[in-house]
Amino acid sequence: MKKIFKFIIERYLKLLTKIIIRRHKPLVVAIAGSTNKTFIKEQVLVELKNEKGVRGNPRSFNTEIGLPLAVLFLPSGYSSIFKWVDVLLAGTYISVFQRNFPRILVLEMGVQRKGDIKYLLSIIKPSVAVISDLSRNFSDNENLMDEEMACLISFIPKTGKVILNIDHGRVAALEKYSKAPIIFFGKDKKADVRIKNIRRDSNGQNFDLETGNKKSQLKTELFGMHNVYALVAANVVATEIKNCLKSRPSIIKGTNKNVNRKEK
Amino acid sequence: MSELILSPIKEMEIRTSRVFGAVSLAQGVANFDTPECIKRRAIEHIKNGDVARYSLSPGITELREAIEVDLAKRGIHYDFENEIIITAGAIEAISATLLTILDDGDEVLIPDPTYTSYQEAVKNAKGIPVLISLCEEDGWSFDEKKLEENITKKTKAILFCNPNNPTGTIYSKDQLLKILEIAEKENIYVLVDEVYRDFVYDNLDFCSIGLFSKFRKRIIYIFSFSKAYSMTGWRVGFLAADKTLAQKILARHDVLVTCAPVVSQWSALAAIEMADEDRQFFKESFNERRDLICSHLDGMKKWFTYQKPSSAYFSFPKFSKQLIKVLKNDKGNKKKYKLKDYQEKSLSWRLALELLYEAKVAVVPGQAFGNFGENHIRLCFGRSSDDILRVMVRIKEHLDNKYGEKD
Repeated sequence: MKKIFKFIIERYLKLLTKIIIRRHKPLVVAIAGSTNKTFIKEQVLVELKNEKGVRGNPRSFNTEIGLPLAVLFLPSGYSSIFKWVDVLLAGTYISVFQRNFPRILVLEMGVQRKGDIKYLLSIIKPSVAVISDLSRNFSDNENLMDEEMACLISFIPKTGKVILNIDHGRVAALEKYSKAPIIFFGKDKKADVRIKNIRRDSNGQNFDLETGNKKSQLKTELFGMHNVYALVAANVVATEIKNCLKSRPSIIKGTNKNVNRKEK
Repeated sequence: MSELILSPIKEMEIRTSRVFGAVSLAQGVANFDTPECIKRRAIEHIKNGDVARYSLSPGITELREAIEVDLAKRGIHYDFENEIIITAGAIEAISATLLTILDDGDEVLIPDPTYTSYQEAVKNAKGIPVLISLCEEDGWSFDEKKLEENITKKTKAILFCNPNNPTGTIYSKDQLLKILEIAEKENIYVLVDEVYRDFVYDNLDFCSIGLFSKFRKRIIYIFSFSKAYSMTGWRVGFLAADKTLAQKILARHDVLVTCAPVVSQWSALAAIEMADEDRQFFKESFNERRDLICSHLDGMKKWFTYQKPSSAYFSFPKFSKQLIKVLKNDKGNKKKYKLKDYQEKSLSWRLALELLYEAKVAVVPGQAFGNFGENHIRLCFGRSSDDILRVMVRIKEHLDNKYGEKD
């Protein structure tokens, strides 16, 4: 009974989400990988806090039910049938009648099992994908994440953008699946957006960022290399989105010149 | 071979299990079950085959990442990749840390009274626990002079819980800062177990040790999901420490348990993601039960005085002069209750065992928490209101009937 109920909710939410996406055609930025998704998303939202029409997943809703809820901006009904009825009614109204909708959605995409990304891509159509990390949870081999991320990267259209961490071998290896231009970020010399001179103390981390000839300094009160990557990835995404908001088609057509990129 | 003694709390629970009809407010366990959302997620992961294998030694990445985010919301910053380790409860985090930082004969300062197992954890790591009395008259506060007086060349660390068990008090920001400044000056570590951080009442400000990032190289921040999410049986917690130290502790953790139970790690992730409302409900319930237990203690002023706890779920009433007098005059029941010598000498042990065998209620003798806990008993108000009611009525009836006339 529970399974049937869950199936109905899942499919109905999918339908509502497809309707609202088709009506408003937002630009979707997908943030995926094993970790660092929430940090990047939150950082993107911080960088774009002064822009209108940008929204991210509330909490970390990123699964087959969570992602549609994130798009529709609705809470979960958890295990209550009554709450779910409310959620679905509200979702129907939002999907069919609501006029205002964000122009940009910054969404985490979660993977728990094989086929998850394919299912999520049947709901949303991201133009930009960001992957910062692919770590294994268990001590034996598992290629689940590799295959799922390859599925996402190969989905991004030629007019879109793929943003990858070049320092992480498994992430950088996804390059071969992309038909979209790629922006590599990281400490590696080959990175388009390069991290240099990381300095750490008890107040956090400072580092330099080089994008072509442009140099800047960034700092964070957070510790760990993943937070440096999150900040940089978010910086790249935010730059792309800001340009996109100025000139809506630029990011889709891949004409933005703000950062170096590798055309595939 | 150094000898460890079984925690007096566990001893009371074992004794209680053999007493017909006994009601216990001894062990620090709430009467709530683990929230449904956590159990449901655990079952999903079991069905999906996610729990049969070891996780990486520091724990599953999703959980460590979620912990970093959760800590950051509290103003505490640690790197989940290198500085957060998922452990089998707080006690494993403490043990792994002590085993890492102590050499034979090193000393660890421990406030008195405090949680019973800390002393044994230090001894387990071949260290020597050095008890520092808290100032009861000043709300069980730290006296930094006493702290400094007890520091020797062998002192390696100070270990305490905040909020404190059994007193239910919290250390102020100033006190924590002073402790850290002394630790910095004397080059010692500061281990803080914040297992009760989510149960602070009366809108009091709770200051976490993790907020003092200036001293992060000295600090080992410890937390368990046991109390906050009613998950004592799942055995899952974590520690956070500066990278260099955390990597050393990780090696010990690997030797001790390889990794925390994987099903419990997924459940802990569910707790962070979904169980905020449950945690809040627990807190509100404990707050009501605190009032209940205090109202009963108000009716026993003849026997006890007490400070209203501001946190955790323990009351730590002190024996009145009258109670001390009648207990001293009462001949011990050494043979009858199988008292050990040190228990026979302790009034709190004698009263606790007398209450267990005669009134059929289990409490923890204050002496179990250190010498300065003597002449107190600890009552856990995490248990149901019915249990609290039954225990408090039985204690009052027992004391009034047995000692009331002698007074």
